Amino acid sequence: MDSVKLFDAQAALGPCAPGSGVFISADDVEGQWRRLGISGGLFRYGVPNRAADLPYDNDRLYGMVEGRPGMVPCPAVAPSAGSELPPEGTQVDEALRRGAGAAWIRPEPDAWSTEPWCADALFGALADRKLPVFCQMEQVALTGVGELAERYPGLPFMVSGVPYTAMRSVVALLKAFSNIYLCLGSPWCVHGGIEFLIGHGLASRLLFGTGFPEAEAGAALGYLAYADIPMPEKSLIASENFARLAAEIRR
Amino acid sequence: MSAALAALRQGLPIPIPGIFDVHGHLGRYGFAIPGTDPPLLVGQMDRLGVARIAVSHMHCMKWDWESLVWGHDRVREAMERHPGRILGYFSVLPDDGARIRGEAQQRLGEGFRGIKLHNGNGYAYDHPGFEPLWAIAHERGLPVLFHTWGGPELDQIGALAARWPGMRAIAAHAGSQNVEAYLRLAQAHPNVFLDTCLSKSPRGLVERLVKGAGAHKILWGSDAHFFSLSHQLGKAIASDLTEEELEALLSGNAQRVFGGPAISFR
Repeated sequence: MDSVKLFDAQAALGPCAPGSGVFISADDVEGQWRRLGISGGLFRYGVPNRAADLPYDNDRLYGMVEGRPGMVPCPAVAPSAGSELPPEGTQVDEALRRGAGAAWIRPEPDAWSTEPWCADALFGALADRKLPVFCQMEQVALTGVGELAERYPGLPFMVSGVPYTAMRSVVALLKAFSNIYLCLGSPWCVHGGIEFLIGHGLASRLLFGTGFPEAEAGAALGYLAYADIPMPEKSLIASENFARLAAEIRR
Repeated sequence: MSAALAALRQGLPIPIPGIFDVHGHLGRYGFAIPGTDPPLLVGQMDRLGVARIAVSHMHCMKWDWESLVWGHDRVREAMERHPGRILGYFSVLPDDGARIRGEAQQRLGEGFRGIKLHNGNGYAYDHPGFEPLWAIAHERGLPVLFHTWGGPELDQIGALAARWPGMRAIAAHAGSQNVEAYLRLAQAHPNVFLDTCLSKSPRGLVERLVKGAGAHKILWGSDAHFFSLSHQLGKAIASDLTEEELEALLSGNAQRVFGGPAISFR
């Protein structure tokens, strides 16, 4: 595994859970990476289930990862119907200008619907640039992810936070929609899960991710390191699949 | 970097002798779990360097005797096929004292090493019908693995541990919620231990349990076949523990609780 480049597609910086008193800095992340042999990652700012000031939080994120080439920002985006946010296309342009590798959607705390009457302009702008969408199952259920993937077939969707119980839906979802990708960070830890998905020909659709800082990153590392799969598939999951998605972004 | 962390990063067997998983399962459950055959589990143990796993059948959550007994038979078969690698827990229901005594006698005679109870079957741990079981656990010094989720069952376990000091109680999923209650439970009773399995694997929880309850009170459990052994082992090894604390967590404490000598399968 030491020869495999690890890119963490499921990580965050900034404040952790309210009341925890923990704020994750870029230096904290790099310290973790040195211990675990991770060389890069896609970063959101803050926690997924709390109200946010999106432009401010995105600026904090950009500032924290600036000058750190392994750290790729994943800013939050939302429909601009309230007119307090820039138009959707402008949000996407700004994300790309600042080096984003994906865009984070958080419909619940940011109070918007993924239905076309609310979000078509947003997803249309993302699809135009093929900027992957990062979402968490607690924000967008698998049914909703499938509906979005069907509606925007050229737009990649990265799904995280999927529980270990969801294999029946996950394998069907990945087979049904070639533009959906599963992040393997906690709590996705079902016994034999990686081997099973590889056996269904889904090696190109899995992304190494840790769930850091909520989760101990070593858990996901162990899950991949000991998976009983060939090394080329391990490399795809570890970083190559995300690198391919990033290369396909129309910057 | 510790030798264990270096091995984890390379996907090599962890160089700690006698790694002992105190929380495993065999069999199917309601959601899809790929590859539940015991030989596949043992194969994964080999890749990770895990010497032993103590398992109950998924039927430990059932609430009829026939289902429990069927599960016990499957565990016995796995124990016979993988001697020394797979150890068995048996389960009981509190509705028939004679049957508790009979099932315990049979299963202990077959080599089962402990008891697993899951209150998801509708029976609280302080149900008076369990009294014959506690007497056996106390007398034989048996480990009793209790499913817990940070609720009133922790007080029930504390009361049982105080009344039956020979029993070795293991509270599963420690820190699932209400971490301080778990720490108080383990601190208050020398015969109460905590296990570490949680799918979310919160960062810092293993360290908090070890520092708060004492390194001698925490046992490593994976909850396989629900969770992957590798995921739960990775969580433990990447935690910020000393090498002595890690060895106690992964191996020494369980060897002591289960009353066996330190072993290595390699």
